[in-house]
Amino acid sequence: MMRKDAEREVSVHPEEQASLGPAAFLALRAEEEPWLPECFVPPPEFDRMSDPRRSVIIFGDPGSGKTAVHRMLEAISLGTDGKPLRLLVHWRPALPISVAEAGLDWVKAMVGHILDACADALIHHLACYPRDYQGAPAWAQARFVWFIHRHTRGNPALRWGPLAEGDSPGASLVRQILNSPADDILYPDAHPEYVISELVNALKAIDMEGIWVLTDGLEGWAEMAFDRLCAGLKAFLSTLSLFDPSGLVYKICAPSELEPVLSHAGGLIRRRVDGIHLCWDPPTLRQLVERRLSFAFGRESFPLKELCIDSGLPVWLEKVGGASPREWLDQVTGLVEYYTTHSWNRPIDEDTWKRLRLQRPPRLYLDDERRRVIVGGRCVNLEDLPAKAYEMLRYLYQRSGAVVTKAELYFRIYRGLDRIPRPGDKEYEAPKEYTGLIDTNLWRLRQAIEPDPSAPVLLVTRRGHGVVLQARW
Amino acid sequence: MASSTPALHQTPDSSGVPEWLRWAGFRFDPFGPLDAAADPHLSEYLVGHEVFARVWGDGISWVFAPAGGGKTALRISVMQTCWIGQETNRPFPIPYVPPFLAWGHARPSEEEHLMALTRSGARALFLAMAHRPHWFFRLDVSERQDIANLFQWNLSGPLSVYLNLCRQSRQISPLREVLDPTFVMRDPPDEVTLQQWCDELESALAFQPAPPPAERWAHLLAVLKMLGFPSVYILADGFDGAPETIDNPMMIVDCMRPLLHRAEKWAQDNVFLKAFLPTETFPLLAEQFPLLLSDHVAVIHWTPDLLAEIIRRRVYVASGGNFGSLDAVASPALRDVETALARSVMPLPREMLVLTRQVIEEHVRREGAEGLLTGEDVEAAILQYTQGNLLLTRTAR
Repeated sequence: MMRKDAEREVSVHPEEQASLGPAAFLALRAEEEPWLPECFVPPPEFDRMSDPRRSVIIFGDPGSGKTAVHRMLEAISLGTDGKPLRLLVHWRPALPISVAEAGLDWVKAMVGHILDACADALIHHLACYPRDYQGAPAWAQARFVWFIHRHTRGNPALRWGPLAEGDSPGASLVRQILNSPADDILYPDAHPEYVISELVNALKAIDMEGIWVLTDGLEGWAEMAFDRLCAGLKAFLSTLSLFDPSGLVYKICAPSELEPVLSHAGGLIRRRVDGIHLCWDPPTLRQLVERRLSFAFGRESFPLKELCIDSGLPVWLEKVGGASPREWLDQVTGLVEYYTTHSWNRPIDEDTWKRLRLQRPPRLYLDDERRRVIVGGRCVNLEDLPAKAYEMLRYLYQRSGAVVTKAELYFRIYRGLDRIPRPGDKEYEAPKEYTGLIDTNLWRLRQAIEPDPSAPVLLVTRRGHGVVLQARW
Repeated sequence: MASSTPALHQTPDSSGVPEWLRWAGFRFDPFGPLDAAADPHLSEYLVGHEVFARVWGDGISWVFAPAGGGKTALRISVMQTCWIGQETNRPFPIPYVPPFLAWGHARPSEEEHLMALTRSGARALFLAMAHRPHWFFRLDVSERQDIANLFQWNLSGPLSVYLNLCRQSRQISPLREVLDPTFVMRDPPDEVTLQQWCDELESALAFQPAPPPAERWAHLLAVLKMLGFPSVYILADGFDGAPETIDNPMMIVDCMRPLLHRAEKWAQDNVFLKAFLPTETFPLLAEQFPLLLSDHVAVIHWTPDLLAEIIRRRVYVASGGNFGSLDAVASPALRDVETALARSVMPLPREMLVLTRQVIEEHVRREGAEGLLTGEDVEAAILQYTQGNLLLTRTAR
């Protein structure tokens, strides 16, 4: 064993010292991981998500990697020299004032926002790559100038002034565009579909493949104004002409709560837009963790068994992480930190891993409204749990991290008292009268929520004191 | 026709399907575009349907089919039949898809309809005339002025913008890209003739203010009559393309109402409404406009044989005529692939295309981008298709 470890130390890549190490596991939020493209593992159906001809709406649960997919759609839109292959436009719909307002009028307003976002993306592109404009045919140049002037909301000179004064390679070109008269290419009342066609045509003249409109970050609105967001997006996805102009496609990442409503939108039923539920299988998730490990430590490959020798780790990850990349990575984070600081890059042994599991249990969230608990990437339905056991869980959840005695659980939950009686009090009962009852319900709770009920990490006994629910979210 | 679809080697698609299609000998992906209006090759593989005979001819006509049932393909087929030949002795087709997004509502007035119809007609005439400049060359000065004004008033932008696009690119295809990618007219003029047309058309322009919508519509009809078209077909389609109408046949009827009130009068002037509508609108229209629906009503039904023929025809065209069935690229144990698929699918052309593409995707997923299609590919595709339709969205596997 010693010899094997020594060999492994020798095999460590020389660049390991300069690599990210545990920092690659710190944020676990795609928007805070600029290096994501270097360790991205595509989910199943990524080829459909990235089909350049098809609009798509990607539904996913929290932590399922929607933002990572969104960022990778951006990444694959860059050529090897980093130059965009297509115009990337970031758009987030505004909410309609009410569900009843979510019709054509609102969609028309949203198209105005999208065209403004296209103007934004276009002028930034030209500011970075002025030669694209300078090498374009005159008709395409005229269209760029017209589009920026006509479809920028507000005053283009004020809006893009900072860009014209900045130090981008195309600052002088931006000034030139802003100072140029914008000849009418289309009349102001031209149909938006024709406006888009003109822009796409001009982009093709500078060797860009068209436009991708990317949408992400709808979770907040889904929580605050679910009905209005659903109604608005459903109207948008039912306006079929939006999906007709060739060269412009939408790539929308949306929380899975919207799926039951949006999958009935006309554009999906008529197959103008593909609906894909983002879902991961265990082999791909394992690959994702191992890729992240190899990136973090600058190695060619980094199998899980080199992080922890316990063969139960993959099973644990599958059980705790479910189908969520974030939860798989989260479960590895503690191991990675220990591996770097204490293990001197030797695989972690079984006992240490069990201890680390206790120190960093899976994240737990009690969804009281739906009577379910989310443990890591698993959703556990508690409908069948006896009422008192569920009440105990809720009580413990409200006091997460604090030790709660069995007496407290009994007298508070079963007897409904607001204090724990002492010997001699009228309501007092000896522990032997209720310990069995509480233990049975704790056993039920562990069976329901623990990834491994025989070795609890969430509902932990403090011998001689009581139990503690280690909720982390 | 110049294709706006990227050739297979240009398609940045990571699914492996383009590679397999290329391996199998296809020049382009004939199963990719699911919407007839977005398929630049549609004219090459339109399958004859008996309903065509009921639509064609001077008279109001109605075609009913569910979404994905081939209404748009039939509408485009009628349009392309109008464009056969070099002369103006066939009906002039106005493809009319209501511009809901520009309106911002789904209850248009008669004036809004007329404005949109005039613009569609002007676009169609502009593209047709770019292909047949001799229609213009034989006109006198005032007739030329009428035509130039028609374009100046009713195209989406100034006439000079389109003419410059044509002049600078020296071809018609960029015009088609921005005006109507489904427009097909054979034998375009040579570059010199095209340039001459652009120059003479521009010089005919005498800037006059645009008249009100009703007059502009009348002006379009007068110009078409002057050019010698015996009749005009208004090919109305896409009325279910708005959130307000997509699941609401009553709203579709309401949206069409101003046109329906005009239809009989138009017919007396040889302007014939031909509507391509969702099946659900039929009983409502029959109840509210019984006289209009007394004749020339057709419902598109697809049999497994016809659906199979759709795929065979596409295979034939995309393979450059080398083979006419997927059997040619399937293992010997697999026979009559198209019929097997047609019997497993909802009887709609779009669904047939979806399932066929699914077979190829299954094959690529299991075997890679080469090799003959197998019975397992077909079975897996049918299973996935059935589950996908139950779920409505695809779940990543």
